[in-house]
Amino acid sequence: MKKITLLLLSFIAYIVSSYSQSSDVPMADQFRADGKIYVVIAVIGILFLGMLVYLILLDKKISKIEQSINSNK
Amino acid sequence: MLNTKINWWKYLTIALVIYTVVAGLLTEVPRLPILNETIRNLYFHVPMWFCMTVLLLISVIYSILYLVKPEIKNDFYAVETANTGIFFGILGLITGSIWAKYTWGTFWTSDPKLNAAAIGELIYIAYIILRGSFQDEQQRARIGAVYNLFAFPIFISIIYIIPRLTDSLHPGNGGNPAFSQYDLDSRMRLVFYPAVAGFILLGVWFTSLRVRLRMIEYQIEQ
Amino acid sequence: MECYPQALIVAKIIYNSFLVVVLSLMGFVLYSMMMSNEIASLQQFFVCLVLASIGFSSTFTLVSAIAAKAGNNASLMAVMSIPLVTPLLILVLKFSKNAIDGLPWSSSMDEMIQLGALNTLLLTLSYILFPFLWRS
Repeated sequence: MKKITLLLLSFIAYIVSSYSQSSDVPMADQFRADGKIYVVIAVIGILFLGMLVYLILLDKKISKIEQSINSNK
Repeated sequence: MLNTKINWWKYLTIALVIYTVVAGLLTEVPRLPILNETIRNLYFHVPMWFCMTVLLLISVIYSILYLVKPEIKNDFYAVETANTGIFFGILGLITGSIWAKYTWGTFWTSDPKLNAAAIGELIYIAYIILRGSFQDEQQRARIGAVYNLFAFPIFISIIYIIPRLTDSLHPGNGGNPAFSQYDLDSRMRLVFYPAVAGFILLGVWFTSLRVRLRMIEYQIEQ
Repeated sequence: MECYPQALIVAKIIYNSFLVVVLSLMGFVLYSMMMSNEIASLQQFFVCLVLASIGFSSTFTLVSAIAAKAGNNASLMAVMSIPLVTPLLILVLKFSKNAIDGLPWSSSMDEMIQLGALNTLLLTLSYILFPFLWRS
């Protein structure tokens, strides 16, 4: 498992580095230069994070019920 | 055969939320100083409050239903909609605070609307605490319903009526013009209204999951 | 003799608001004797006082009834009542500030109407909801 993740990470790093070398490749540089778009990204990220927390809490609740069913049997 | 079909409105929720994120980031928005691109937060921050209010309204309706017809199911709906409402309120507070940092300069100002939102949260946290102090199920449900009914009009007056009288940095309050006057133009409406609908439906979905869980818990106990 | 819960809550609210008015008057007299009386418009100040007492007592009466049902927990009473009285508090603060500054009646008309509306709301809510507390 560890080896696979390491391999995957190095592969991703390779791809990223090979792309970042050439600056004439069309990227959304305009997007990053624009005013305060990162605030919008932070807000969306927090909404996402909050919903993930909600999901985790729900998961815990469900496993509690599962355990109580199993212990009753 | 078990019926595990997903309701149509859940597909609608998925479509609306995806539309909100994609269209919210890609469509044209008015160019305003200071706000810059953060005006797009209108699609993500403001619907939180709409969602919270609608969920709390549903909660009050179920509380009335419980007082009229004391079935435990009504109480489950009332408490879980309030829970989800609090959840969306907290998300609204955090996202609003970040937005404020980059437009008004601080995470928290003593803006009436901010304080009102915080107090509104406190009202509903008190509701959860109150419910926690009862042992008897029926008692908890009834007293909780009474508190909920008493608190909701006060919550509305805190969050929607009082801030309108005082000076606020929020649009539409004090001397500030409302969004509708200059920047919530027709293009933004096209994204904003679906966003509100999508997040409200998402809240209803969250709530229905928790209610179903509670019902299962209840049936196991029986 | 039958006991009507509605009669009980109305009586309690009247008694409590009377008590609060008397207490705040005593406080007012005491303060104006010990310090100088800075209030420019006494009439407005007293109207504010009376409106505030009615609002506070109707909120606190119902909340304390709820807290009593929950085993008379003192901290619970505080947790529930502090956020619930804030709209009242904000309006009363503004109104009394206007009274202290001696602004004309017309400038605090908004606050007065709002306070009246809020009081009516709180009173009707207490009146309707108390029987449900009483029944259990």
